[in-house]
Amino acid sequence: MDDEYLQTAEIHLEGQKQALGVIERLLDAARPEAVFSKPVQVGEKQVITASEVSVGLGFGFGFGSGPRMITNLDPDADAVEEETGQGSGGGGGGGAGARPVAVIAIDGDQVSVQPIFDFTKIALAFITLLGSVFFMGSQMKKRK
Amino acid sequence: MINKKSQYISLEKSLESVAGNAEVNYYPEVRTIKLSGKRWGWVWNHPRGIVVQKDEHRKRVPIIDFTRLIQGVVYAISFLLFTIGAIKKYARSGGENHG
Repeated sequence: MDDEYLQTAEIHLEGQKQALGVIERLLDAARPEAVFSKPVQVGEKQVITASEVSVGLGFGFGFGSGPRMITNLDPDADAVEEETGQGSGGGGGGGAGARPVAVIAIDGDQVSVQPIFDFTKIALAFITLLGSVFFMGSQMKKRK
Repeated sequence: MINKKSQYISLEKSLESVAGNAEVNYYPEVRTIKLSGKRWGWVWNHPRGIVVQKDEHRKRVPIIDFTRLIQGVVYAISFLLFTIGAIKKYARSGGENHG
């Protein structure tokens, strides 16, 4: 049983090492160089897109062992046999995202930055504001 | 350092020139926030500006994230109004929390 336990532990550690490797590779993908795109020639100008890049992830592992009681139905044998069992499990999750922030136009030594508005994010913020306004308004109107 | 198992790194980095010629070079600036633990990690990269270098003159053009700015202001006002409403509710109930 000890060998089985060590084998399970070895598999668990190997899985953990692999997961750590995946995390390192994914975090490398979110390097600062990914923020600015390669310049694209548009007429006389060179255009670069600046984006916000984020990556987040995590994982968990666990394994353990313990005694397992098996009731023996044979009346002549010992009433209870003891065995040990072990198991392991793991899981993980993550997400990555990029959002364009601005477009940079380079014309000779002239640089112009055009911001990009994400109207969905702004609209969602205003919906939250509307909810707060209604909540505060309803509390102001109510009397004791 | 956040705790013994995790670390916090925040840096402003000037990257290599992205465009230009022998006379003018453009160096983008990035702000990076990196949080990492034993079994998790989070990286956030945000553009800060672009530095134009002509001969020995350097000029920095900032990149302002208006979406994030507007979002922050609106959420701050929402939080303030919600807090005022919650205080009113608490005061009306005589300091007792009835859920």
